[in-house]
Amino acid sequence: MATAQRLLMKGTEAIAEAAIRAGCRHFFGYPITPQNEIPEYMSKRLPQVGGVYLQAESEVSASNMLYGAGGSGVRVMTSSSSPGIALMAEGFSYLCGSEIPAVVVNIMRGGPGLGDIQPSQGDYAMCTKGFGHGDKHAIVLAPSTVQEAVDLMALAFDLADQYRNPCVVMGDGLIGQMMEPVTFPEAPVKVYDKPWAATGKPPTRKHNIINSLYLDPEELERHVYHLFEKYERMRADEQRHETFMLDDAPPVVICAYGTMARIAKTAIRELRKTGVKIGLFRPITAWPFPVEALSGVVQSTKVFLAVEMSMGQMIEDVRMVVGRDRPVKFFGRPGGVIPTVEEIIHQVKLLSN
Amino acid sequence: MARTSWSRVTALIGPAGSGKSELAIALATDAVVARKGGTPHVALVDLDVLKPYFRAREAAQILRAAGVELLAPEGVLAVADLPIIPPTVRGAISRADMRVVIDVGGDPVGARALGSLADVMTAAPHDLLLIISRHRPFAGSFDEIMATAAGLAGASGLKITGVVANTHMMEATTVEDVRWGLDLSRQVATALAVELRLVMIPEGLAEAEELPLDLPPIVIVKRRMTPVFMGGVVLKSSPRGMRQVPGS
Repeated sequence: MATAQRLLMKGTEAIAEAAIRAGCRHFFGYPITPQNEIPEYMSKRLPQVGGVYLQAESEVSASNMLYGAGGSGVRVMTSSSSPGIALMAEGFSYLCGSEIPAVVVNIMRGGPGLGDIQPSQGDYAMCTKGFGHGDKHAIVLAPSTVQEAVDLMALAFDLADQYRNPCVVMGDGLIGQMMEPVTFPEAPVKVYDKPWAATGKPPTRKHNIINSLYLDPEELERHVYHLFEKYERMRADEQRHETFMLDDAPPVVICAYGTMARIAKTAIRELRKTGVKIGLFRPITAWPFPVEALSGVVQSTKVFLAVEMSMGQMIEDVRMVVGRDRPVKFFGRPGGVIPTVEEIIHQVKLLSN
Repeated sequence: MARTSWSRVTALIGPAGSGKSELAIALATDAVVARKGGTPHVALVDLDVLKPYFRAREAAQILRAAGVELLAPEGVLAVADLPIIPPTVRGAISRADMRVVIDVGGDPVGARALGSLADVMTAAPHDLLLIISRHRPFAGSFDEIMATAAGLAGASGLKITGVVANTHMMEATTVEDVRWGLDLSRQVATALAVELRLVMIPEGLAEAEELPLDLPPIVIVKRRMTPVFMGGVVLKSSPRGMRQVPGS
């Protein structure tokens, strides 16, 4: 490993290194483009730091390995891309049900089906609303730069431990593959007390049992209520967002997240040069959606434009917040095609007309 | 530009993200300029069988405009990550009137693709240049680079004939970064008993007065392997959305 504090890294490599620096010593996964550099990096680095890298025989197995290792209280992660994440959904639901902390990285590619290997944001709905069966939620963090991916990885492990719940880091193939300078914070790894972990039974306590099976419906109901008290705390405390050029209350506000937000920022800078008052609202937590902050923008905004690398998934959350008082327009391209700066500028001009 | 410092067939190896594609594009386009008016053809072989994007083939328009022939998987195969070596590559390497730059995938698996061409490579006047970008992970120390070099050269079945220094931090590159990278690159060149053949300097830094005077020939890098919205050529899409989108 380079001794230099500054490194030039791909998003995938930075995510892997950030995980290791956050205390992750266990990785279970199965290769899929465009995130193969994460398992590859882990396979090189984890043995250097006394960790375990294991390539599972399938994504379903990998997610259940998270269950086993996470259940013993160690920091664990996996990574995959869209179709692989869909396969992991079963294990993900078990992690939620059994309250096991883990970090899951989804580097999204074009879908549906096998789709292609180009960057996409087509899994917003899956990650925020449908990742596995049953009543459950998970915090979903959406980095916009490689540096932010580093910072959010550390946060993801902390949030997972704090809430005893899996946490998702959701990026697209572009942020996974592009290189940018990064620095790694010197912050010490936060250590969380895990009295629930299955680490062997000392004489001082009963067996710790990790389980998501509650055959008695009223007992399961009580368990789900308990989970939802936790999710309500997440909704209250963990909403994160960024605003860009909203200080002068522009009448047009673009909503975009991840890499798409960076392209939108370039378009906004160009439009500002020509006198168009416009800004950006960027969710950093896709779940919990930053409802409070976006609500605060509605009053001064005439029209919202949601821009996504999909046919429109985040826009449903935007519409939920904005309501019927303001129009929420959409521009996006599916299939792994990335909307361009010029296209966004064009769409904004159409709005103004 | 150092147009005399590389052989008719030059393969570029180095860890992933060390700058092989940028150098390949720079060398190939410069070779056309160098030979303007002459007959020889210049070809760039995109032999990257590893990455899904950020590959030299994404600069196809620039290469075509410069008169460089791009040898890479075509059509839908260009956007797959399949281990394909175009059948035209061997012929190009064997042609005495063809200058060929080969951009090799950044690990031993990628270099194995080059190994399948070792017979024609050996028969041609060739260079195998190792690129060093010291801010990249697993590339900061002498030992790491030497281990990588051995792995890459071993898989390619060829001997490294020169070193290229390319330590940078993209737009944030400083003279200090260049100097720090040169130190390691020189050490590696000495250990491999080859010359430090080129140094890659980002556009904008090449005129800096603080640059050391004892530099090898300089290749000025105008970065192409960045996403379109950052000024590069990667993941360029055709403009379909210049009209109102249905249902919006």
